[in-house]
Amino acid sequence: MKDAFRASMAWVHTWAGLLVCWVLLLIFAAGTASYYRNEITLWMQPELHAIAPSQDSQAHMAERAVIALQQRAPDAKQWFIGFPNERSQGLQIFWEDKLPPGVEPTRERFHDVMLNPDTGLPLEVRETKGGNFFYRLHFDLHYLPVTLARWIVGFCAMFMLVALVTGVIIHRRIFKDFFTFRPGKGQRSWLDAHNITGVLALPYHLMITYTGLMLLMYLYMPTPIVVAYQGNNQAFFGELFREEPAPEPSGRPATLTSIAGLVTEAQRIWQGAAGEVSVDHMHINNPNDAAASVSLDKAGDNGLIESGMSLTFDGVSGKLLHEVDAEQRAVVQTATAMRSLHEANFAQPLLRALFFISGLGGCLMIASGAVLWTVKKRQAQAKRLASGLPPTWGLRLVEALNLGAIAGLPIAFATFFWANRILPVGLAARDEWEIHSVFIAWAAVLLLAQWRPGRHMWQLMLWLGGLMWLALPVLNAMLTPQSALFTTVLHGPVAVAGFDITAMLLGAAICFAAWRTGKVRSPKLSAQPKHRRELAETEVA
Amino acid sequence: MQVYDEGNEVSDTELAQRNPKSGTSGSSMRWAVFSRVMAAIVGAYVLTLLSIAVLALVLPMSRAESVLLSMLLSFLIYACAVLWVFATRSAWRAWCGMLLPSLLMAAGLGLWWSLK
Repeated sequence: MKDAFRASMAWVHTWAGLLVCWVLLLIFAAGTASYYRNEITLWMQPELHAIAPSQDSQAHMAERAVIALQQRAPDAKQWFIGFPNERSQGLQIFWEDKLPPGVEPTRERFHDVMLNPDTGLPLEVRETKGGNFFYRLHFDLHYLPVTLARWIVGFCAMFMLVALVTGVIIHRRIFKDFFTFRPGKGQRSWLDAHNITGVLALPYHLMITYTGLMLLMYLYMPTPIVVAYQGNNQAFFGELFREEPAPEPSGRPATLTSIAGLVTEAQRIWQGAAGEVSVDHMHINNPNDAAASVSLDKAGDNGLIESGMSLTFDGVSGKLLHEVDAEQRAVVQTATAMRSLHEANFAQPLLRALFFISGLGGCLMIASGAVLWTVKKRQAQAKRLASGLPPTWGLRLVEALNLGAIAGLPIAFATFFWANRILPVGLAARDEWEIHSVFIAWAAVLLLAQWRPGRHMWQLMLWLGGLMWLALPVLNAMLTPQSALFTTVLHGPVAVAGFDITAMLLGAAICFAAWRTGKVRSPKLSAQPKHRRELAETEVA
Repeated sequence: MQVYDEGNEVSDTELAQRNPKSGTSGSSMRWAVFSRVMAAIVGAYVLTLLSIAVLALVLPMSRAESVLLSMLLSFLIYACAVLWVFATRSAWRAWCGMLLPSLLMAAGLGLWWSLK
């Protein structure tokens, strides 16, 4: 009886997992890389590696940022100033163009420039999306309309959640299997690998999947806002985050108040609050308009619940308009904590590394699950294969997709970093070409996999991917000698040295996988006693 | 392991009567599977959307908080509904289990809407 239930759960687990595993692998890998989004961006901008962190006050930086914004976009809809912090040393300015009424808003209306915090001059860096590529890829995919992509990602994430829960249900000996690994035994080893990577970080997998869905729940689960707010998302967010809606521009020009003065004022007001007394970022709505307003958000204290404190000033008179205190409401705190958990904003280096490793574990869980399916199918088709017939088209398709997606992933991601160092700095749309090269490389592997899916292709692709990662620090040292590993290890930045070391470790791991693929022969089915085969089958079922 | 225990209860009482291979032809099996998959993807989604709409209205909290909490719970509700669809005895039961509560809640929401 219990077996019937478990059998149907096993069925759900297999198909929910298999159907979306390739997209899930991409989402997981991109998300894992995003933990080090700032560090990746820094590695990809070698021009910044020699810049020391600024010691100047935030008021002075704000002044420089405003001068830069006045030069570039005096009549923008809004300005944004992001101050340097321990993970990003540049002074970020960002603005949104004011669109004439009736014009469809696109991404083109946003502009982003990094300034040297000490001079206010733009930093001369190569055009690159850096770690933000992985961050966007994680939930917006690429080459697809954003809303469609987010629905695809949500669909896959929901499958993932169902696969995780059913995976726990069908798992009979969840604690015993924790310590079980039987290498070199074909299907059994794949099952063990799938179990270990799945069970070891199970709390992480459940957490990351649930909180990930939560981040886009406004899109997937709209009915509560429909019934309570007549579908007006802005009204809901305004009430939730206690924000006043940004005033419409009046059309009358006015002189902007001293932004530096507001920074000092905000720091004075926050004196005595928890955490450091500094501004994280600020928004200036309707600059140079009579209806200008300035809001400043306090830098967090690296807790699970961000401080959430903010101040809004009148942009002309400099009068304090309203103040948002630290969050007290339990539900909002819960949602904030879940968001922080997903994005690991609070995580100190060691915890961040643990998140990264758990993310890698998730990739391995997905990959080993996908391979396990083909190994089992091959056993089921043993008679057919022994008589010289080819595998069924379904098996062949999945085998080729596995090869292309799993072995292609390290190649594709490594290509991104290779392109970053190799593409000429002056190339037009250079940042786009870095991204195109990722997908060109991946498409090539997928095609090769369709052409000849087999052990040799696996080996070849894994060796290629592993060597590309291993060689990244060498490439870095050759093309950008001032950022070479032996320099960065001694003189920093630590993040760049960390990137090179991580690349080598990943490369070594992939090369090891390639070497194993060459060594291990799949156990001959005929040589396996029948009862053992059945045993292995019931174990998963 | 709440889900695990609940699952076992369901299987004990209901799946006992199920014999998956008794007298079902391949194509009708295939239909039953397809129907269940649809009940899980579409039926359970509709059920979730309606239950969180009701939750958002009845939770004893401020409007913004009850909306937020109901959305936070939505994926838990969805996942449980999906599991039930695959655990229950037949595709018919699965559809009934999704649609009957959905109809009830839709009627309740309609009533609330007209009284508002």
